[in-house]
Amino acid sequence: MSAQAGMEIHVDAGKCLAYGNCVGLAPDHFDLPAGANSVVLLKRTIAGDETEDVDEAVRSCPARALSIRPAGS
Amino acid sequence: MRRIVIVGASVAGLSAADALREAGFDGSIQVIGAESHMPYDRPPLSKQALASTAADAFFPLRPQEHYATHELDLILGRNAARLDVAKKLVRLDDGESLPYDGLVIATGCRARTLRTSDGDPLSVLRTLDDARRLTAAARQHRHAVLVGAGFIGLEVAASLRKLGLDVTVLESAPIPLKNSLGPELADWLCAYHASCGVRIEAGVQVRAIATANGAYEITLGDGRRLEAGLVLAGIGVEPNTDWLEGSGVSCDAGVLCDASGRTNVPGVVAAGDVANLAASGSGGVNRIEHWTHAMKQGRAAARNLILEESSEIDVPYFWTDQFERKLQGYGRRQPGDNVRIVEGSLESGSYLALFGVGESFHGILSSGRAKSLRNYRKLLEQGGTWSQALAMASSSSTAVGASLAPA
Repeated sequence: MSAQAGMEIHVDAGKCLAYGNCVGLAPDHFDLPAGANSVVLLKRTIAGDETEDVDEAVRSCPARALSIRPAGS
Repeated sequence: MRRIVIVGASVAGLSAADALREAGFDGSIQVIGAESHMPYDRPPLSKQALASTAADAFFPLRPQEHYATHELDLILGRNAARLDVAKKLVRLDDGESLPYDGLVIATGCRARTLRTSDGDPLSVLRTLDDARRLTAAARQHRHAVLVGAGFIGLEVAASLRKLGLDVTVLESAPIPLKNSLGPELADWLCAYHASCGVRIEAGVQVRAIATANGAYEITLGDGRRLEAGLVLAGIGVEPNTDWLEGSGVSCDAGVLCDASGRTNVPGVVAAGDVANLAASGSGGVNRIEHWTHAMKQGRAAARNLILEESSEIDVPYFWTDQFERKLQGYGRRQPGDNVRIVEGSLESGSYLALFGVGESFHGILSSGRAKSLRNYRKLLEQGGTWSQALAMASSSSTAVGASLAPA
């Protein structure tokens, strides 16, 4: 599912391998504190001008730990 | 176009398959994988797989149900043996022929082999089976010698060291990874490895490798001898293009194609590690052997095939985990580039480094500063200049601006 304004990001911490690709692509949404085993979601919501970066972050996760879902689902 | 055959079931091939379905392609998609395993992801093979105590650690590229829900016909454990572009047939190694209307070549690369004096190939790390053998060997031996200090070789060195092995890395170049990192950052990475207990011997030649009593004896160019129970060769890769010989698809150090995967044969596109994008640039070899590039170019090649859409070469991105440090880079350092640390410091191990020369801005590398990468990536995508990169650095509050001497 592609990112659209009003949708939300979900992180599956069980799948995350802490590569940090998403942090470089969408740093307003993701962080990987030093020594963390899983990425931290800073912001669940996606603004209109953030969809491209968030989509790229989701696709660039080799562990497929990130997904986009309709808000509240 | 009703039938698309994708040769290669790794990142590029599966990304192509997904992009076809996303674009509404409802014909048949056959994906051929040379290995018998379900498609799996390679980045963990040099990292988590080695650290794992499970002998059967497996990192699937897609959930099991993905293939059925996307109607992808996986043909595993078989190799493409020949391509007939006139009849539009892919011949498999068991003699079966698959007709296609569109073909995606995503056969990747294989590890270059190094042989012992008896002619036996040394272990390499490219496939899941390689990783499982290495994981088992790492638990049987105390001494490991790695031949070749590339990023993956050094990831393996770190993984083996964490398992408690005594690890020596041999590199023929005087400074490992100098082309990718430049001398200053390459020195930093080697010193970091040394501080973690890995012995890196640079500028040494391997004269011979013999086997005796279940161990290896390595003779170096200066006559010294090393003994190890585990020896791994990490000396680069070769593109898997043998099956295309005589097919008419132009190959030279990979399949020659453009950023959209277009080859010289209509209806045939290439993507991922096997693709040599030299055709779209200045000539020479331009294989971008990185995960996200395989993903993006796989998608671009698929869209080109069915929608005749064109795309630009993306700014290359790579990441590597070295002990507790994460290196992430965009763009490519060019020979002779200067390096400028714009955040943090080499001493602290946390830094952001820019590469460029004159007004040309070529690349950026982060060690533990991923959050600062986004704006520089966008600047690289826009073809921004060195001055613009420096201005970006000085406008960020944490900028320091230590300049290092040119290479």
